Amino acid sequence: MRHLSWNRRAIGIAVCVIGTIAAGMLARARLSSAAEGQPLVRGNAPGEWRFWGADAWSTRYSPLTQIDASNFGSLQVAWQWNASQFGEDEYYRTTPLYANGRLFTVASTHRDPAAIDPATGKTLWHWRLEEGLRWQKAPRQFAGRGLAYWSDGPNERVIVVTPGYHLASIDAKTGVPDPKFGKNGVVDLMDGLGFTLVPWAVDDSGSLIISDAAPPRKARPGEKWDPVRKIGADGTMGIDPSVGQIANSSPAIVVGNVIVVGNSAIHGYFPIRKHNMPGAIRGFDVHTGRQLWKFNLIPQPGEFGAETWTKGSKVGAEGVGKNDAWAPYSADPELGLVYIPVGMPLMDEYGGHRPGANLFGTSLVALDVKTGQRRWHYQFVHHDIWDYDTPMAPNLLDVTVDGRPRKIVAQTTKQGWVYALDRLTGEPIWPIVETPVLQSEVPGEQTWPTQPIPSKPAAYSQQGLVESDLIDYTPAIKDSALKLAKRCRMGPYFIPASLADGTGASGYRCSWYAPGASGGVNIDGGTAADPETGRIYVGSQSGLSTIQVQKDPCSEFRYSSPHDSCGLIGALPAPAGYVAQSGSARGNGFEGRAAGASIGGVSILKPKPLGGVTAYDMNSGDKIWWVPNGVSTPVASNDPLFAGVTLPPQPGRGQAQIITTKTLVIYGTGRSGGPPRPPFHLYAVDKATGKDVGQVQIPAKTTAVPMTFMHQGRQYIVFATGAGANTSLVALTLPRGGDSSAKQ
Amino acid sequence: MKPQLLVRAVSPLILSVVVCATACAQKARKERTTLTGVYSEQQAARGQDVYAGMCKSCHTAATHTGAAFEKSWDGHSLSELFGFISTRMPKNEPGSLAPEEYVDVLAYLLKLNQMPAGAAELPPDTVVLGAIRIETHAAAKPPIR
Repeated sequence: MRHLSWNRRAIGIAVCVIGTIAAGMLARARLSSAAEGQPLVRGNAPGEWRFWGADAWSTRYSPLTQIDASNFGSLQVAWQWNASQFGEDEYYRTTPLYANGRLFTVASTHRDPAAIDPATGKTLWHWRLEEGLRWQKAPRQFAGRGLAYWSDGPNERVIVVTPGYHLASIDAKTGVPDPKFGKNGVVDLMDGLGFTLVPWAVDDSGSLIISDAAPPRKARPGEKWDPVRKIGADGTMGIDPSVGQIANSSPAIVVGNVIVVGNSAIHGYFPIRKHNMPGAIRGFDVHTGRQLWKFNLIPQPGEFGAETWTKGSKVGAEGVGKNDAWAPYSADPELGLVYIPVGMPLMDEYGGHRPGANLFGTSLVALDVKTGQRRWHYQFVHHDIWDYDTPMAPNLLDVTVDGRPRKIVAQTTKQGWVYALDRLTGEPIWPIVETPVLQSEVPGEQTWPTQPIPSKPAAYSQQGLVESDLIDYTPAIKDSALKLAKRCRMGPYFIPASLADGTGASGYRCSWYAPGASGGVNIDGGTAADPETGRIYVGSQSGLSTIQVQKDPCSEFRYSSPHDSCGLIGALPAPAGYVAQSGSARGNGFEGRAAGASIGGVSILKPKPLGGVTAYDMNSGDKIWWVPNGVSTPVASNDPLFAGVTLPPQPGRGQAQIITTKTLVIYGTGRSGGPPRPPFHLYAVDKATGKDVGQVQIPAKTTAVPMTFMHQGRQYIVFATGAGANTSLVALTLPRGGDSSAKQ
Repeated sequence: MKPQLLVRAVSPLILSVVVCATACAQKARKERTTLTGVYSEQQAARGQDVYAGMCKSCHTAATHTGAAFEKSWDGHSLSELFGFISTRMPKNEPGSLAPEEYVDVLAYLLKLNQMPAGAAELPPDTVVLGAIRIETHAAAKPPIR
């Protein structure tokens, strides 16, 4: 195994080999992919999985047929790859790639790329970039969602964007950085954004604290590293931290010879500073690492869309920050377009500091891959104050609508809608109506008067809370539910947060929040698309929570979700008369959103076929079928209110993690789905009907979207599991002889 | 001393011991604290995994250990902390974990704060948890009402 490392304390960047070469492994992985000699389809070789979402269209579709309804239940664990051998992680949120006979993944909070023998699960190579303070203070310090892959035939590259925001191009065969790419295989992504790089220092040895507390700072002249206290300047260079923080959590996408890279940012709740880094999308030459273009996701003065920031959009100005495109991207290589799902502006629940629609926040943006020019955009939420970041790579499909062939892009979202757009023009496939919505009562907030509501397809998650949503098994139950519901502000969708102290015009202290900040669809779930039928399969959740805002005494923001930043490094000094609260009145800093209301353990929300797995026919925009995520949960209550009432089960919780094949929809329940204790399962349903066709016991819950491929004549399903020091990839395949049909 | 006299003399002592034992036991039951081994190592290990998967991305351990934890929760009941995390956490989707997962995280939080493990597991039962007081160090404090 070869293990290359970048020396943390070195001035400049140096490569050192700290592993040994296992020549037998490195010599070559047997190139026995399903694809030899076959043309690429949507950028992917049939039977392989070269993109995070299988192909450039992010279909998560594989044409493989060896695993089918008849044998799904007999799948066995072929091997388990211990990702924790390279260090701990948060939850393991990675979907590996398979290309040309090798499996590629990332591991640990350093996001180390690694190659694995798909037949045995043995590590072929592993590489790490030591990033010093850039890693220590990275806002997204985890393995991330994976890698990108490029090949021109003889040459193959694995592309990783690190937590400290470097772009590295690694030889897929050897694990050695490409010496022709950037500087010794690495491009510093903090360079090229328009900021001067400065030396960094830290005053503590910990990581960034949600959201921007305990940040690094610009080093003082002559400042050194204190190895005992682990503070000071270690030689790390980066963008002046007073501008803000920048990060990455999803892979780049390679279209032709262009690597398209974006960024993520700090969490949008509880920020202290009223400005932060803006999002940007850039193109890089895959051969050299040269930056080709940059597109600003917060349009700068003079650029298209700048007028949607009525107080100004200049980087560094008060109220300006984020609009980070943190999800994976999709592309149409034939059209030369890349589709960028964009997150929301700073901060999550309050936007009084940034009046306007705030382009390109919570939008889908189509860019020309060669030039970075905007072809079109569509904003899903104007002036977002619901944390409705566009969370997932959109799905590209060719369908027939009303007898007319259409090239569409379907974006599933946190807010519970599928937005179907023409992928050449951005025009809605079915009418999306700008509809008046409730307005905020929070001082300084200027909610946008309308939001675009799709007429089709129907929502897949609970929308807001209205009286007809409430349980009504008996008149007494209905009265009780309504009484409870009326404690918070109700409405059909897009209900603005209420003031926690109840001083708003209506007196509410909370608002109902559905879908919540995790969707609907979010990064754990999302959507698979079937290019053969034009159907999509959406993994989402459907719940109900509440939202409220108040002043954080030690933050620059006028309002946020209730929180106390006082005492944190980088926070404002506590105001006169400040008294810290304890217990549930303060907790550990997290308040302001609360679980859905229930009576005697029974949710006031009627169980509906929402969340779980929803299938839509995108030729017609109709829902085709629905199944819960795993199994429905029985509901019982000792409350006398429910005496004599047979309570229907609740749909499963969590977000299903879905792929689709020639015949099946295959999914895991995700980290928050399914039962809390073993046994855990991977499920398969008939993709035409949603009928359950099998389930197989797995060692732990899926924590990321699975993938599948054919290697040496055997179809495998691989998925990530675990968290902390227990992360691994699990590979399933049929027992020898179980694939006698030898289909492919 | 005649036996009867001995019995007469010792009986009040025995009685007082019995009374004291009963009262002390009741007091002990009433004042069960997090320093008495109220969770198991196995439960805390499960909670660590849940924590890493569901909590760590938003929290650093410093925000709910040591002085920060003491300031927020010392003297409160475990049911209050359980109620807080199970209705307010995770921030993005409060209430989305199973009760068993929340109580495992609770056990891990106690372990993070150097509270001793015992043989039994904490149940996701607010009545049981309500009878356990959070005590962050040996010096007894009056409960917060």
